[in-house]
Parts: sequence; structure tokens; C-alpha cells
Amino acid sequence: MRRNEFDHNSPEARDHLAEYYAPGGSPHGVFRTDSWGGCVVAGDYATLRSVAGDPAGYRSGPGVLIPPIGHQRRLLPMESDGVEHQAFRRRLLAALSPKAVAHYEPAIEATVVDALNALEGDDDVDVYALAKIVPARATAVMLGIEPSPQAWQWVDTLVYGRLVPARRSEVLRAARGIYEFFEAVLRNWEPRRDSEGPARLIDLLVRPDAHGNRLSRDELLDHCFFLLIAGLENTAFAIRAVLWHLGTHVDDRSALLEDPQKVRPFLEECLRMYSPVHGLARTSQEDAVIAGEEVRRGDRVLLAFAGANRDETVFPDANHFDVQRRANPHVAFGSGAHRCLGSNLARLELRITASKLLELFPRYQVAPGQGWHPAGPLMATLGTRAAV
Amino acid sequence: MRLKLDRDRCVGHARCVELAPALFDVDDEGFAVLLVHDDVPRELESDARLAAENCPEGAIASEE
Repeated sequence: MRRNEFDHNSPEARDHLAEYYAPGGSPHGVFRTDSWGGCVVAGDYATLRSVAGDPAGYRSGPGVLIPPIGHQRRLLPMESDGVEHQAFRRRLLAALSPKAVAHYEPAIEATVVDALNALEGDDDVDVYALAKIVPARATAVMLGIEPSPQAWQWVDTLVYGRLVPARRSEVLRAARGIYEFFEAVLRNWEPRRDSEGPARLIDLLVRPDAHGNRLSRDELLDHCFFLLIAGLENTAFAIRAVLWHLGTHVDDRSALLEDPQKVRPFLEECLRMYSPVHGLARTSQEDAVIAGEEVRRGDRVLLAFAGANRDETVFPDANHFDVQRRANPHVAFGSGAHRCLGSNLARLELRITASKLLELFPRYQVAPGQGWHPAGPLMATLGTRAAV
Repeated sequence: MRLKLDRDRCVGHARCVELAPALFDVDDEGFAVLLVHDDVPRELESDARLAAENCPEGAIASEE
């Protein structure tokens, strides 16, 4: 592949991620691609961190998705900058801290166990169901809504449909569907009293913040819209990756069964090797030169997380999956001020899913012949349930 | 060994508190808090290095 044809949305990148971002391969370092109207790709670790670490020089407000959804609204809080961005995040940070999300562990565990029980019995089961049910439940509980049966359909349409110009009207219908869904939720919203348990994310968005400021109706809906998409899609990718790896690498599965302490580093290695989000963009505010590449004011710079996570200068033998990898400061959840707000919740979902699966079905295996894909059915056998 | 935490660089990845819970905590918003300002006890030195090596923001330094 030629560098100017680099496209993080292409089937090659998505279905052959290890080869596409292989260390020493063509799309490494910093370079310009012509895909999707053109952008500068920051594909090495140090450059990505320096761009992501300068949110005033490289802004998110102009749009971070390449290509965008095209619904002419901001994805909040992600597509905002400066003090506005800080104020948006501050509303939600405490509710998504490691300690706060731990409160949801029993609900998520029950969801995983129920989903596994429902799959048990058949020889071949599609464990992608697990990757979809867990984030759907976790996102619904955190937001404070009943999961909409249509939510996944809408979100899939947005995420994949935006890549296909012919699907534009379908994408806009899906976006409108989500906005109308949340308009109805907010019309009937009953704020939770403190005595009834921790505030749900929508409670925190509806209330005035610590300085007495309220979100406008549009800002409120823009937050709901994006929190739903972010909570579902990216976590489903991550869970599917964990399920795929565990079910195709018997040695790694055995290592975790022998020593459950290795589950956490294993999950970090999954996040590094199968980064759910390949890249997000910033818009340069000034003419600049980054790592020898000229960037003009207004140019988009793609933070290529999947590339940076295979940077040999930071991750020796970077394309090797190493359950024991000691230093693993990957940027699968981004870097800098826009670090994924839901990362603690996502890690909790990953840990519970992997731990419960291994605990209940230690012989779990993916059916033969299923190579890496980020999404779609994943046929597997759960195997005999472990004796209690 | 002593640890240094640059709170200005911390964005709340929370890797340190997971890897070295005896040395780090997080505040209400999820940003790291250093618990041990004096010499790190010898038995925790490996955890201290681990936390520093895994911070995606390079916000933790261990000084021998």
C-alpha cells in the first residue's frame, strides 16, 4: 500500500490490522494521505502524543471523525475545546471514575452470566451476542435508560453507513431516530434523589453543574447521542477482540486460567493489539511542521492510535501479542485532554466478561477458520461448564 | 527510590492505581494521587517502576 492511500476505514485496515499497521510497514511515522479529502497521519507514538497533548493547537471542535456522520451536530463532549470542553467533562468525570464505575460491577456481572447461560447448550454459539449485550446493558444503566431494541441498529447504521455516500439518507434517519429517542427520554425524565443511589449520567447532564451552569437542550441531546454511540460500538469491538483472542490462542487462555492475575495485563495487550478506535482527527490551528511533515492551518491531523500502539521504539516486538508485556503504555483510549471518558467502565466490562467466561467455561474455543475481524458473528463452543 | 507524579500531565487513565494500589490512589474525578512521598518501600519498588512504565502520559517518574 502506498502511504497516500492510507485509509484507517478500509477493509484492509479493519480486517488485517496487524499487517496494515505492522512495524516497519508503509503507514508508519508521519505522512500525508489523500483518503477522505486528505489529512496528515500521526502514526508514531511520540508525534501522536505531542499532537494530542496540544489541544489548543490541534482542536477537536471542527470534528474528529473521518469521515463525519454528517448530521451537522457536535459529538459532545468529544468535539469541543478549551474551557467549554473542561466544563463538559467535569460534569461526568466523577461518575465515570474507577471507584464510581465499580458500583456497577454486580449489574454487569449478572448481565455476563445471563448472556452466557442463554448461549449454553448449543454446540456452536455466536459469542458476538455477548459483545453486544454487555455494553448495551452497561451503557443503559449508566445513562439511566431502558435499552432501546433499536439502539444497536441505529448505531451500526451510523458507524458503517457514514463510510458509504449512498447510505447518507439512511444514516441521517438513524441519527434522527436516536435524537427522537432521547427527546422522549428527557420529556419523561425523573431525576434520581441522592438517597436512591448514584446519579445517572443523564441526571448529571440535566442538573446545573458545580458553577450553576446548565446545558442547552441541544447540548444535552448531543451528549446523550454521543454517549450512546461511544458506549456501545467501541466497547463491543474491544469485547469481541478479547473473545476472539481467548478462543483462538489456547496457550494464552491456559496462562490466564493458571494465574488470574494475568487477566488485567492480558486485557491491556488486547487493547494495544486490537485498538478498537484506529484513529481520530484534530484540526491544526497554525501552520506547523510535525516530524518533518508540513501542516497548514486548517489541516486535519489523524491520531492513528492503532499505528502508535505498534511503535517499536515503545513496544519492542510490537506485532507480537505478549500476555507478559511489562511496559504497555498504549493509547487505545487516546491521549491527552480527550482521553476516553468511559475507559474505566470499558475496562470493567472487559475484565468481567473475560473473567466470568474463563471461570464458567474454561474450555471455551472459537470454531476453526475464523480469522480476525473487528465485528460480526463469532462462532464458538463454550465447552463443558466448570464444576463449582 | 522516590516517585514523582506530574498532576498537570495526568488525564485519568488510572493505570497506576491498578498496577500499584499501595502507591497511588485516584481523586473523586479519577486523577492520580501519589500516596508515598518518601522513599518507596523496597518491596514496592517493582510496582513503582511498573506504574511509571505504563502511564500513557509519562506523568510518573521513578528516581533511584
